[in-house]
Amino acid sequence: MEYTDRLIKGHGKYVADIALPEMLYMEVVRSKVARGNIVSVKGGISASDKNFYLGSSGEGYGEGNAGVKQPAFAEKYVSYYGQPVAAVYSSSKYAAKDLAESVEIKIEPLEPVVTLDQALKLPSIHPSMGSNRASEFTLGSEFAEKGDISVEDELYLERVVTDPLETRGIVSLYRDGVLNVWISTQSVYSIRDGLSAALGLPRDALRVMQADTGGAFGSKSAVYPEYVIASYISMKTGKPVKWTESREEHLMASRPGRGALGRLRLSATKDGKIVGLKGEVVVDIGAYGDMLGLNSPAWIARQLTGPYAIPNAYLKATALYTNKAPLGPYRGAGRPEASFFMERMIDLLADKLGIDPAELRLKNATESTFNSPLGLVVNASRQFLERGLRETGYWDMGAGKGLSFFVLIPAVFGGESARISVKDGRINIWLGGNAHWQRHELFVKKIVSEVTGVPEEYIELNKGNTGELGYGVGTWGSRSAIAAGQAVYRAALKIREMAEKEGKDVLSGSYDYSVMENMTLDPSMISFLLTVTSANLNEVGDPVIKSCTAFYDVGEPLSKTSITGQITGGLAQAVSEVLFESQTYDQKGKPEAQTISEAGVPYAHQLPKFRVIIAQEGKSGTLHGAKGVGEAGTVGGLPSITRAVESITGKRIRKLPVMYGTQ
Amino acid sequence: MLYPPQINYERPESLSEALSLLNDHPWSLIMAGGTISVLSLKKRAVNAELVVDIGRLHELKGIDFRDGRYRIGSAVKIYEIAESGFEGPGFSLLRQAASSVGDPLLRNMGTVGGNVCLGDPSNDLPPALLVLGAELNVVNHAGARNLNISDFYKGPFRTSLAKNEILDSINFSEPGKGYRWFYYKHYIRHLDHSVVNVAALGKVIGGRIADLRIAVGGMSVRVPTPIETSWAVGKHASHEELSRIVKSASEKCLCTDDRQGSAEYKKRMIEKITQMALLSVMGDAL
Amino acid sequence: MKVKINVNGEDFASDVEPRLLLVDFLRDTAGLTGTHVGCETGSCGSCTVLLDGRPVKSCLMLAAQADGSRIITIEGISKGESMNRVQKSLSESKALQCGFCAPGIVITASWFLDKNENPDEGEIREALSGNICRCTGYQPVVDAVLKASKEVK
Repeated sequence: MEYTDRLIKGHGKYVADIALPEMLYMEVVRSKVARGNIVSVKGGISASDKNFYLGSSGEGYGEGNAGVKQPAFAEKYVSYYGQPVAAVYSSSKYAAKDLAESVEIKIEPLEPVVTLDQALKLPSIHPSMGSNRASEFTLGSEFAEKGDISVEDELYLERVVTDPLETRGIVSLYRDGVLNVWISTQSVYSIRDGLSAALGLPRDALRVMQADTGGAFGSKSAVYPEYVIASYISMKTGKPVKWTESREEHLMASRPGRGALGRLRLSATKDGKIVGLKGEVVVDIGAYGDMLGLNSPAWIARQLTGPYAIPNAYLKATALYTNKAPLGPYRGAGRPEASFFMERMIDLLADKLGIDPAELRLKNATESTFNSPLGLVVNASRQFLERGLRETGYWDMGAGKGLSFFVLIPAVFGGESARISVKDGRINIWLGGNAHWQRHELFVKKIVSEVTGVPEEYIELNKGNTGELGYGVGTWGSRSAIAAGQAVYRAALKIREMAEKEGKDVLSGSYDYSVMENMTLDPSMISFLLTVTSANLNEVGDPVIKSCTAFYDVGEPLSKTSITGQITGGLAQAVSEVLFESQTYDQKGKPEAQTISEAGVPYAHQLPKFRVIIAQEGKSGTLHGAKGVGEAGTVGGLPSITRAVESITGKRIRKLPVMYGTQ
Repeated sequence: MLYPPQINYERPESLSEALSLLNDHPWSLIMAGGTISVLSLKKRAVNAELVVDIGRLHELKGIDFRDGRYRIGSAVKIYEIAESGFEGPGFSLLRQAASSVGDPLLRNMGTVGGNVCLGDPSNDLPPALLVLGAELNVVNHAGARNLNISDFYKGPFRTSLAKNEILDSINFSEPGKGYRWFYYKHYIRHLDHSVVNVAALGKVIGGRIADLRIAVGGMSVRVPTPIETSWAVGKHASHEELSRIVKSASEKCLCTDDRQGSAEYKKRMIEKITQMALLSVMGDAL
Repeated sequence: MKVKINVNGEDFASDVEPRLLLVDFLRDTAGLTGTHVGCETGSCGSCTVLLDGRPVKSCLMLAAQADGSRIITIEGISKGESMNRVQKSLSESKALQCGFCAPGIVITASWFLDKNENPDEGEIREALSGNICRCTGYQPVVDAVLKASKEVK
């Protein structure tokens, strides 16, 4: 059965649905304070029995891990509310919960570091570190400001929890020297390599299989303490161990995104030519930093000039430790932060100069390939902007309009793998980037069908499995169409060639080919995003989004259904993030949103009709010509929707979500 | 994951059996629809020696209209009110409040009694029932008492319902012709606590206010609260009176800055929605 | 305690702990895992089933409360390999992504369309206001339900 039909019929197989004989159910006992010294733990398994330390895995994977490695069980002290302290297991899931309730943890609370100001002022949250500065970068070089006027502002994005509808989950089974893992994930390779590093098992002693994955949005790329603990319990007992995260746990102890501050200053000539950008980006990375967290401020800063030709830029970028759950990637992972910061500044400048924001953007859009002082190379963007403003009807819009114009940089780094196997008249495909049904199968089948001439109904895309394809990267950073698409295209070419050599029809032969396609970012892969939003006020005077139109450059469109769905999903996220969605922390560092409703995940009746115009501005320099799309809606939507709300309320917005009453 | 603790569960066959159980087990949890009680159990926020399921008791069912007065059993589901065909301004107001509860699925589950007895300031029925002057018929093993809903709420999530009591029914008179009604719930995040709910009912005769009742709920006021309007009765429906009432409503605001918005914002919302209520019930008289 | 619940036309009688949630009865006792657990607090609607003909959130009910009731889960909303009009429309438009919300949305939307002929987009959005979809921004789902409403039952 086609996979959509399988899910619509209720025949999906998610981690929670996996049943194995002798299954044990694990529950984790967590810290109920954000910071404190552990006095005693009575019951369950905890750091005093055995501990493991997590390296970097998932999105932002890289060698090394500066600072403090996150322990699987909090050791000596706790660093965030919800940090795992102990674990219990039972053959009944209800009984496991009862056992968890019986574990007694005594913690002597310490004053937590909650805000960025506190992080700078107070001693480090980790005794082994000198300060809470986890990483620091300088981008561009110092310059003397010229120009006639300048604007400056401080901008902030609250934390947002990813909240896929299926929470995290894992089944681990250690048997005959092999750790078998079934998991809800974006990358079986991150999970394999991360577990291998933490548990000290060789990679070939792990087999990681992706279960149906009910959304991820960034939070299912890395290895978490719970995965290590569940695997350890299986190694100890020889039985399968299942852990499924509660929503409450997800909201307190998964890895949320954003939590980024920008202090920026633009200088410009009086006719609106931007001549300089200065300032700093500060990111709250929570209690532990992997490579994603540590690099995030520099990654945000590097993108700031976006599609604009800004000749001078000088940025400082800092990551700070706080007593909160570690930062993770979320739908855009640094890209919406950059677009929000820059586009807010451009709107501010437009208001100060009294120029239409679209005119100001046209004046500054790149007219040829531009090497930014921050190290970003972008192609000419002005024509695309001109076309988009016409096609979206921007010029005819009335009060309450907002627009944004920015870039989407796909995370092609590391390339991607693919395997195609032809056997018994069918084609099976595995990708290094594991689809969690963002409709990858649509473009994958299309590519393979076009290259091999085999009709799509004979082609199947399989879930991630390290046993079927031994190497790969993962699904994140708007990379799948470009990187996985390229790999599968290459493999398809090879299969066609193999068949041609034998003088056979592809389906009548038996072939198997795996490829790892290396890639480096080039400007042809970067998309331009123009988003136009219209807002009005409801009967009580609150802003409501009326319409939102995306005019996005997707390169060669591989699947319009897939592209449209990805974009409307991102725009929905942008609407709720502007108006009401966030995770916040009280003065003691306790997460305030404890249910998915309190976090502000949006419902159908709270959202406008979205319109997606699939635009094409050249092709990427890949075999298929497509560009990235997964995160386009959040990158483009956030600043555009913010501006529309600002226009209708007449109050400058510096922080998201808007605090009702102050904005 | 969230699972309830081990519980003892009884589903009595009659109301009197239920009341005896409550009398014998004072630390019982009353369950009807489950939307509140099951959630509290899952969060392990209650410690009950017995769960008494009154959801099917026939004595607590039914919406009846007799001699101009409604009796609504406490185990009536919210959707039954939302889908009921009774007309008249009083019931229409209650229907609008019921249609604002949660979402369509939760309305299929939750009961009138649960919505009224939780004492959650965000709940929709309490402000509506306050302006309707509803009488609550409360029973225990020894007898029954009637009290006006205005004497029921003692604080956030606190009511005057004793441990051994069950809300049997809600009773109110249809105010009848010439009355106009208003109900509005304002929230930031759907299915999160509301910021402010306002219910109003009133009648204007010959430009004079013949009757006017307003009640406010929501996190901004912490407790479902009637607004004093008796002084306006008999006066001309004017913008001056309207402003005075709006001001007295906003004085009920116990607002602080939080995830729902700033204190100033919440106060403004109470004023704005109370004003909408007054414009709606005073109608053309203004 | 003993409970008997008719699920998709078949009686399931079982001796269960009184605290057993209805959703776990369906998933573990009846073995029907199409009903999902998403939020556990009655917010997301992934666990939606029809209870005596009306959609409810089975994570906020005890199995004991449903004793003697008739339940239809996603596995029983259409027979065998066939699909009802909402499922067909979602399938044809490829409106879903991760699909975790699909069983709940199919149940709610099917019930709604059975009661309402020719709904408009706003009414469909209100009808789905107890079901979260995190992937699509709802537009493709709402479009598919609207299309289904124009099909014969």
